[in-house]
Amino acid sequence: MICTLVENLLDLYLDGRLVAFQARLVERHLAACPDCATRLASLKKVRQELRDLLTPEPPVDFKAGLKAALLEAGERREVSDEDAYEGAEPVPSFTLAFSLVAFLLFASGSILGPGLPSQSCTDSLNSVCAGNGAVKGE
Amino acid sequence: MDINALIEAFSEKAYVAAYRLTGNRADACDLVQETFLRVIKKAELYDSSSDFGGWLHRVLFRVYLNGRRGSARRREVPLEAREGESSPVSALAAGPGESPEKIVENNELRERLAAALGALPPDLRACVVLVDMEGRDYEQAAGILGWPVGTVSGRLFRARRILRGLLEPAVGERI
Repeated sequence: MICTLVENLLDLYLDGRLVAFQARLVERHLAACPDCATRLASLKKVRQELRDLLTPEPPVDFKAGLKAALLEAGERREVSDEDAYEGAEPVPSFTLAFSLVAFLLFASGSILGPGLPSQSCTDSLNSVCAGNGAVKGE
Repeated sequence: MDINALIEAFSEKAYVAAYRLTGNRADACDLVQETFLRVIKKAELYDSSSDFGGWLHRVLFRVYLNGRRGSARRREVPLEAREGESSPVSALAAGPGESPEKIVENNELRERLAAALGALPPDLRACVVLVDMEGRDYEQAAGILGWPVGTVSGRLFRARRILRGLLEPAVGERI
């Protein structure tokens, strides 16, 4: 059981992220348990191999290719910016669209006449709509 | 500093990180190119009082992660030799004094390690590259990736568990 516990702590132990009493617990156990000591050695080996994995040299034309690609991308962007400017058409703004919708909603009350809930038109005799527009209270 | 000077000064280091992330030369070159493009586009965000190399490194990792988020990730076997290239892994012939058996064993482990790295999801792989390959601490990795330290710690734990599962047959013992 203690092996399972220590096993879960080995990575953090190697990372130096255990608090002092945990690190002491691990070290005491490692001194007494060859299996866990071997496991720690394997972990260290894998980490060392990870650090030692070589990266091949970049291709010979790497920097030249990178410069050319960046130059080309810069030119393309400039051209597309110019195109966008020349062919630009006025785009209605969101505010304008919102204002238009709000106006239409407001105007619809007048256009459609009585009957909209916004105009308090109910079936009640006291409603402004009662008697086809008859004067309220008659 | 103009872009050519920046390429001269920083592109090789960026390539090393890109290769570790992508696992092959072509994608590494593409990633470095995309990173420089992003840097040019977002130049106004660069704080000139800070280290440009560090900023470039952060951008590179974020370009890598953003490029692979939400899309079906290509499962490339990393660090493998393509036609006409020598394998960087097998090129790691052991140093002097090692027996042939030891050399074979080490090369097998490296091959498996490289393949296991390629099997990791991008976010886990990024953690392994920063902490286990570049030797950074959790806080530095968190700063580069823009994640909380706890997230880095959790993903690293998962990544190592996966690597362990893939490597146990090669190492020949539980790790």
